[in-house]
Amino acid sequence: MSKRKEDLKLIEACLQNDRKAQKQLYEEHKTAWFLCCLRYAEDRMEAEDILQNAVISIFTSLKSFDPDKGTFSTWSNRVVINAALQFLRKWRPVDYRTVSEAEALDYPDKSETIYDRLNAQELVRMVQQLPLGYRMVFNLYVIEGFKHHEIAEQLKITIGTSKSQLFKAKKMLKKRLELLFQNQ
Amino acid sequence: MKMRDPIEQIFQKYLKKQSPEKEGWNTPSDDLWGKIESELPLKNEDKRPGLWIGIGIILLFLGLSASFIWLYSLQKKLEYMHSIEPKSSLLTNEDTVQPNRKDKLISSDNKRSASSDRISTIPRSTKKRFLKDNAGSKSYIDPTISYQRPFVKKQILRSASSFGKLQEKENCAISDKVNTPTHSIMMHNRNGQPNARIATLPSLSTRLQSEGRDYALTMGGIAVHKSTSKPNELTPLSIIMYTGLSASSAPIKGEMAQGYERVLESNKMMPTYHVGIELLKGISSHWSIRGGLNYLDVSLWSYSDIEATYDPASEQKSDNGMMKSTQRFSVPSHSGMRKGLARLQYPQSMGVSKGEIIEGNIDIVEKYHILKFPLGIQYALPLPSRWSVYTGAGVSWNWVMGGRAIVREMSIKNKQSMEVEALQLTQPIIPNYIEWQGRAGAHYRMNSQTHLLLETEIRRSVRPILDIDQMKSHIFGYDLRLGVSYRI
Repeated sequence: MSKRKEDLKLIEACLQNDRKAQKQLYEEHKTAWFLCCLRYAEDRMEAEDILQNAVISIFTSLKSFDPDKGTFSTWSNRVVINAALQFLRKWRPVDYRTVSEAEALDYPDKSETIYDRLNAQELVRMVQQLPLGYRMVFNLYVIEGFKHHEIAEQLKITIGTSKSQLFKAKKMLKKRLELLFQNQ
Repeated sequence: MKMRDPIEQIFQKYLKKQSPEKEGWNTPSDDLWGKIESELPLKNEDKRPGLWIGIGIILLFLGLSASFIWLYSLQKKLEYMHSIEPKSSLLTNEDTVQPNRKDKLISSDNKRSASSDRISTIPRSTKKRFLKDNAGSKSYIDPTISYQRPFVKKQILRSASSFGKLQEKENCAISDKVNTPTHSIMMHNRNGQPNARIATLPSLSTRLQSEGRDYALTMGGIAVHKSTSKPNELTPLSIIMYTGLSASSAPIKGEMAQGYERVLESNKMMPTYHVGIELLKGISSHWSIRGGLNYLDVSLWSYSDIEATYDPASEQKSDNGMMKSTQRFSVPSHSGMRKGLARLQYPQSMGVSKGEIIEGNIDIVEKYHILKFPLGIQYALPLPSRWSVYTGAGVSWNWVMGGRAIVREMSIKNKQSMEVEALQLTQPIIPNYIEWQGRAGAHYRMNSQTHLLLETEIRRSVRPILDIDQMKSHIFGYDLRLGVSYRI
């Protein structure tokens, strides 16, 4: 049986609230979902809270998943992102304040070899350290691939704010990367 | 084609993965699934199992009540039939016909006494004439009459015990199919009515008999009478309506998981109210069964210390010059661990430093609406005059219909103030539960049908309503109620 058919069979069982199937689906996707939560959260504990809400949303809204419109991974990832944004809106006051221009530095001019020394954990930590507004816009634009007008609609901000938040987020990340490279 | 920013490329390369490799840092903790599972909807076949149990209890209760009512109405009907004189001039007011067995004519006298408990037999010639004259007539036929007399032709009272409570009888025949002499000892109550009979010889029959107010089940050689000569003081079947005050508490006991603060107190009794409607059926001169519905509002209180570690990253300056910082906390409550945010506010001049612990406390009241289905037994003792006292015990299945939490206050310490922005529940409400009940009260008889009752009840959940980590909590409470009982 192909992977896709297996997935569909598993989803069918989950729709019947079959606990074993739900756990199996969770085990298969938990790392991807959790990585997504980590990017939006401030720390691991908050990421687990988001994941908890997200998984419940996935299972309760599983009926709306249409296999003809895309893969389960893409659909569930979108649910996780929505859960993360909802969680942050509810529990974290979003501040789209600006940071000082001094924080903005040029891109570090490093070779690919140095970039290769990076690992995902360090990068996730850097994203987590961004102010919440920067973090949300950066994740939505860079990682999820949303357009600025979509982000503005999602976060209820202007397109200009979305662009400036992204710009400043990248500047801050550049600074962090440079510090990292200096230490190495 | 537009080139993407190098920063974007780096982060996309490492973070935009649909199936990342499992490592410790990017894998959620193992116990997370347990938390998720507890909040997922139940399996389809398991949906609301408690509801079906509740419906079953109600149906059982209604069935039993209907049986009692039917028997009671049958008894009344028989009494009525006995009071009607037969229309045929051939029958005396002491005689009637058993329609199922027209070859027998038996006495309809229902007022049995120790000495007059005999049946006069009508001569065969009279019986034949009567049947001929009344052929086709239904005026004297009633199906209930077939129940009205025992199949005893002769009973002789032999002796009485020295206390006057035991009587020895000899039945020459007690079965319509088998005539078997039975020697028996009757036990009588204070009013001289039989309430038990032990036979020394088997009757070889099993039947339900109705003799006026006595129901008799004869099985083998032992017959048990239910005497209703003096009806239960609390009436054979009554409906009780009541309302009153309640006080409930659920102390949380035990150790909490590491990292959570200790609950200082959770045992304060919170006053609420309740209303109820129940049926009471007397099953003997003293014992009754009681059950019905009861709506109860329950308030549960818990008080916790919280400690927040100051982190300048979450600090903001507010319009009034005060500094604000938002801290996360997690405290136990009766419906489970509650996560929330505490917004701290303090003067800028306070100079709180990073890592400093800011203390506060939180007071949570959870209010629940509970529909109870109590079922129990009670023992009543009539007192001189119009009073009687009673005590009883039972169980109740309690359906928690809904609830809400109220955060009462946060303390202010050292010019800091705290307020809770919101509380996130790990589970919405406490689970449905079963409780033990014990009650005691007094009845005042206003008239033959109406009683006033003053009652107190204590209750405790059979199993803990809260059972997380090492913490357990039972609900217990007291009710004080005033009600009215009306004989149906």
